[in-house]
Amino acid sequence: MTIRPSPREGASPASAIPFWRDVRVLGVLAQLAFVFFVAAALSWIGNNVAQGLQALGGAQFLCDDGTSSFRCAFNFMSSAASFDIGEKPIDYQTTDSYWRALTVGLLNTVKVSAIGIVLSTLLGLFTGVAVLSNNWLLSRLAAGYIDVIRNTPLLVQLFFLYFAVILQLPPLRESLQPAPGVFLSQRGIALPWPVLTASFLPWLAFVILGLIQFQLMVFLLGQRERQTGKLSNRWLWAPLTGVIIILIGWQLTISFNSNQALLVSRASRVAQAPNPASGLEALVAKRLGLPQLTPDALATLDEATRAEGALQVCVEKDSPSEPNLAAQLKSWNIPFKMTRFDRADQAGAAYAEGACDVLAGERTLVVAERAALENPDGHLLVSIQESPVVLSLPQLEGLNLVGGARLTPEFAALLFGLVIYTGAFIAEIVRAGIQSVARGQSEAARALGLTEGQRLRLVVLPQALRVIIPPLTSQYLNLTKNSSLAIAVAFPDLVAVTNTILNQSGRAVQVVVLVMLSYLVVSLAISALLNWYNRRVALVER
Amino acid sequence: MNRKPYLMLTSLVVLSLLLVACGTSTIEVTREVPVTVEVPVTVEVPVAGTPAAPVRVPVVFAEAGETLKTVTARGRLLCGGNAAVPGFGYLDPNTQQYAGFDIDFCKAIAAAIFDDPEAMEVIATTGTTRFPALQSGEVDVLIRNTTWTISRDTSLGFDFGPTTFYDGQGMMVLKDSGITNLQGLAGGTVCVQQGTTTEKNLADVMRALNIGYEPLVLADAQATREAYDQGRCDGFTTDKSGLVSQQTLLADPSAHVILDVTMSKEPLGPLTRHGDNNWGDVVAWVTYCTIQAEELGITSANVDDMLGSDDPVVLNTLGVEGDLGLALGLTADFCARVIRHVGNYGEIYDHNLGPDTPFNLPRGQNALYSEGGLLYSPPFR
Repeated sequence: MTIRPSPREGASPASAIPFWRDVRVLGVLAQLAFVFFVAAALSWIGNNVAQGLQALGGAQFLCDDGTSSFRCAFNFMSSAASFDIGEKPIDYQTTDSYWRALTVGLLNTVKVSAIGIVLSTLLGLFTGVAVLSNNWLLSRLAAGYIDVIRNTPLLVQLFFLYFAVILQLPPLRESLQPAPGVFLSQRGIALPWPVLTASFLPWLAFVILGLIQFQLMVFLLGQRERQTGKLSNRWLWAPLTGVIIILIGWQLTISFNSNQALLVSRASRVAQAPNPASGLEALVAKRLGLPQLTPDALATLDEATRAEGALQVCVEKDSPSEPNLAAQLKSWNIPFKMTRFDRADQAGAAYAEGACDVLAGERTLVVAERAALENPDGHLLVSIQESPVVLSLPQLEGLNLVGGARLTPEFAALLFGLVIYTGAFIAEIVRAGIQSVARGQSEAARALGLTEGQRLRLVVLPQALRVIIPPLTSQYLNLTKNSSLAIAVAFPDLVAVTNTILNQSGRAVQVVVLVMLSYLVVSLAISALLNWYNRRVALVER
Repeated sequence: MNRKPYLMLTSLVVLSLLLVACGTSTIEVTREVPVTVEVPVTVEVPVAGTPAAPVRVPVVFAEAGETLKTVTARGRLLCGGNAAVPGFGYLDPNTQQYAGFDIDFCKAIAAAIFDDPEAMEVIATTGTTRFPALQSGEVDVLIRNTTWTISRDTSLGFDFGPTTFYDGQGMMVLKDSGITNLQGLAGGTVCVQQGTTTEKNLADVMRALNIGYEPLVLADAQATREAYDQGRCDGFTTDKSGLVSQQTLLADPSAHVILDVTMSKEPLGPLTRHGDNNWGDVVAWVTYCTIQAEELGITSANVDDMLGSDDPVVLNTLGVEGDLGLALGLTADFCARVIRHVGNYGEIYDHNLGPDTPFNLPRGQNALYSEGGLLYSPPFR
């Protein structure tokens, strides 16, 4: 069916409006033009890259068989990285591939971003609330912090923090020791750190059992209270019985595991000793040329004699055996000196050469090292107790600290730099969010008799959260991307590591593409998570 | 938030004072104002065959003769240089001029082309940006203490000119640390600059010696020195020439010592883009010219007298007889220009690194072959 123009209008609508004045046609044309320009810009960029790559030559895309193809653009990533990385969350050696080096960098970025996001949120929340506080000093301090930090570049703050603050701490040998086992120096902060041993899992079962007991007691006694009306001491009995179960479990796991062992020469006096402690005491006595040493005599030895008679222990570095044995020997008051090796077989080899009296390690490992010895029967396995959790203490050895947990100055500078910087922005977002909640809500909360804390926690913040979350997401993304300034403070993040990869391999385009993809993945993950959370706290509208 | 502008202002002032007091300043990179001088030059570009690309790989390299044409048309040479290594490439904060051993070779090339050593501009590059700068054509030649390696020569698409400085990687430690060899650094931290061969060398050497250590990788020479100076690292590694130069900038230079170990071979020299063989030849022969002149005893002081020498070798070198320079696309007297304006190799060395400088670096391998060194120029004939 055709629509004929009505003769009364004099002309058809099509001819009445020329196409260049037809809004719909113009709209389509504008969109076409836009698409054309975007496509042209993209193809121009793509062409530029392709030309640049071609100018660099086919060596950029070398395949294993010597041919050259775009398919092989990332083949170089499988070759050995042959550079070292200072901080590595996963095991990494110079013989590992570029891929693994990239992963180490990415994990460092994720680590600093994740911790940074949590800390900056706490700082921002506190400061945002503080700015609105009635306490004049607090609110002015918070406002001053926000203004100073927000208006200076992050890079300057990072330099300041690293070179002018952290590196001005005393050198390692003159470390500040605010608490026993805590070292604070320009080499970072070292803290005692719990290490989980192989018997941790069995003990964990007891811990869970203890928690169940606690819950059960609270529930059952509570029920009895309600039924009989007789008050019982349930807040005493529930935790007490729970703790008793956990402690019994601790003793049981210590007594009934044989994970740790020592290897000593059969010729030493340990073989004849009734228990490991007296056997090792005899070893120390032998070193000192004494017939025997009683525990009391051990306690009275002076420093020089202790150093002379110190039991020489070979052990793998960072294995739980080391702090476990150290704690044990300390409790027996036996002087000792640990020699740490990067790998267990190196420790075994040193023991075989007679560099130490004792080889310590997990039983399976020690058994294997014993089997590798020339004369396995000449050596004796001695069982050592293993605690489910042992405290590893940092100690000065050679040029550095070993043991414990270490926070490097670079990580600290980057983390605190990012937290302080982003915290100022989050504080403003929090302030805006709180101020967006109608004053009547606060007044109503006060009228109900809620305390200031309750008012903030129960009335204001839940409503402010809806305003806070969307801009907060972009702050989290900013923090993550700002962590790429890490190289300024020598922290090996994704960008720092890939810079080295780029420099060694010369594959600029490929490496930059990988870096962009990595950040894209991290950023999209963060925003997906926060969008999900945002949907949960958003007002439900019908 | 600006109800208390004074508070903010005061805090800012305090912060900036602290910053100034702590001296964490950054080098201002100021480019020299280029002096453009129009010099009529007859450019005869020899017809070079198609660039000899390795077989199988479809390679498109810089076109032969292109760079010299571009440089001549532009009227000045763009050199990729260093701004932070005194003695080699350094932006003098007093004069705001670049100076150094590497910079002088830039001037030599400019002098050969334009008869004016100042007809060049130094583009400051970092260890990381130097290669893309040359690859993209942002600079014509890279003279920035860069080590000649096979991977840089091949997969980066460069050609290396003659080595201007034979160097080796060294290690600096505190004198009173008691460290006398690399084994002494076991378990310690070593400061190293990113984007250098030293980073990989360090890893290789330590791996070969089975020494456990922690690297602290910093972005540039200044930050590396700063971190070491503050005591963050037990050792500081870079090329020995770099160590000598950085030592002068430490808070107490005499408290540090460079270990008597050489961890690598580091031949440093100029780089050009692969494929423009003519331009590579220009850079190479300007460099050889300085060495040849030292061999023949031609200096900036006596070059004009030497033009009247009886020795045909001298006359050939200076372009009085023959027209060797024309085949390069330069003038016949290009070498005379270089020596007149910049001097021979020995003069360049002494001027930047010699006994009268704070570095007082012995010539060592960088002496003429006739004096036990490695410098040797192919004949000019």
